[in-house]
Amino acid sequence: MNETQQIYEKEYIPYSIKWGRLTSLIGVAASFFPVIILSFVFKIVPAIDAIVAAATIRISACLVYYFIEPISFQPVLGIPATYMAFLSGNLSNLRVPCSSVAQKAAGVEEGTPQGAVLSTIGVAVSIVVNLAILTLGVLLGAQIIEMIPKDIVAALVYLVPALYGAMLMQMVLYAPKIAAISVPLSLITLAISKTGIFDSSMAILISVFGSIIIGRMLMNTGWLND
Amino acid sequence: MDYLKIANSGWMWFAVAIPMAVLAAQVYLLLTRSLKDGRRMGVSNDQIKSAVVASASAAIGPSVSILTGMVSLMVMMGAPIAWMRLSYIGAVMFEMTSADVGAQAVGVAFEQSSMTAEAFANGVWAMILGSVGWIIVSGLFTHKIDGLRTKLAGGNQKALPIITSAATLGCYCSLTFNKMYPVSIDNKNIYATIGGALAILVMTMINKKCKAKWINNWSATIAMIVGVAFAIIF
Repeated sequence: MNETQQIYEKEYIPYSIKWGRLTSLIGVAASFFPVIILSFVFKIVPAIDAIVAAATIRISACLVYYFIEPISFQPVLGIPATYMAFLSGNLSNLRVPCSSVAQKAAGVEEGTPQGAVLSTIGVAVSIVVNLAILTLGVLLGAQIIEMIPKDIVAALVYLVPALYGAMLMQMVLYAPKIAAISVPLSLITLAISKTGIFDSSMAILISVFGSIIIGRMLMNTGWLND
Repeated sequence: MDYLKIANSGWMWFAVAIPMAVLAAQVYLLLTRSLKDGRRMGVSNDQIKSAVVASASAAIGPSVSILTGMVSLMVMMGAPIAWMRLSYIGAVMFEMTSADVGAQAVGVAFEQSSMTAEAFANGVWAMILGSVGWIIVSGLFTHKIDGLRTKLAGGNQKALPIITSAATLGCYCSLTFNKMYPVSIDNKNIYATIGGALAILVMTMINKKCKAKWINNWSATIAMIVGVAFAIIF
């Protein structure tokens, strides 16, 4: 094992798991602070059956995603960035693209120890930028933000699809042979999901792991050797 | 008392500052360690600088988009909750739905004129209880999921980059094609994706000829602008 691998496996990853997991689980408890303040300072406590009713609707609607999203995005983000991305939210429209953008700009290979480091830096930077912009928005107030011309707001909707197209092209150019599998696989999976046999979130999971498994099998045949 | 007075009170700012501090602590701990160990693993300062510039510029557009979505949440649930929920765990659609479901569960319509303090509080409960599942699962199982990836690699160091590239491709294929559905000339997302993809294609070709660092740093941001332009023009 070379020195980089040694540092990655014996120091960087154990540290990230220990502190990432701890802060995420503290984050779960901390997220209840607003309702604690509402209950104890303002004495506003909804009827328990109202809390349970609303929570049941939301949890049952999202339950599958709690599992599918970490499983689908973790191989893309790497361990440390996964903790941060899920604690900060806005995964697919911000954290995942920023992880890829950072790795590409630095010119590191995805899935390597350096890749995990740059992915973490990318996600961390996106958290800071997102927070700065939202804080500015809060300071300016809703009325000022509503003054942004409607045309610009409408155009902003296309930023994320454009970013996806860019990231996909980047990956296709980087790994064309794997793309030859992933692209048709995803198209077929998506087409099936639109018939309603399974949900579109399931389609991501199948695309990710289908690509991984077929890619791994092709690697054994030697087709990917170059 | 008007529920928005409570929702925008100093106490609510205090309440949301606590979870935000936990997020800040996590980012600080993992980022400083990444910088420190990254350098030991051969990551150069130039690479870090490029990554920061590229990621920061790419994050601006989507963040402004989140900001415009935050307005509706601010109007209904007050600034502190909107600010915290969109930097912590949540996303606009999820939070609006949760607040709506919470209000309805106490028998109140999700409109500013009819909202009560109880409906507001129940909306906050629904947001929190509906979203902690993601952090619990990612907090508890992230390293287990990584074990799966390592197992698929079967102890072959060379397999991990291939597996990760395949995963990333699968991920972006799915996200992109989902935006391109339904396939019709009215779906402007299609023009946006094509614009973004073409921009990257052209910039990669230019970059092969004349290794320009600025292209690496700004390609994602430029591609987003081109994609939006495509969607507006066509």
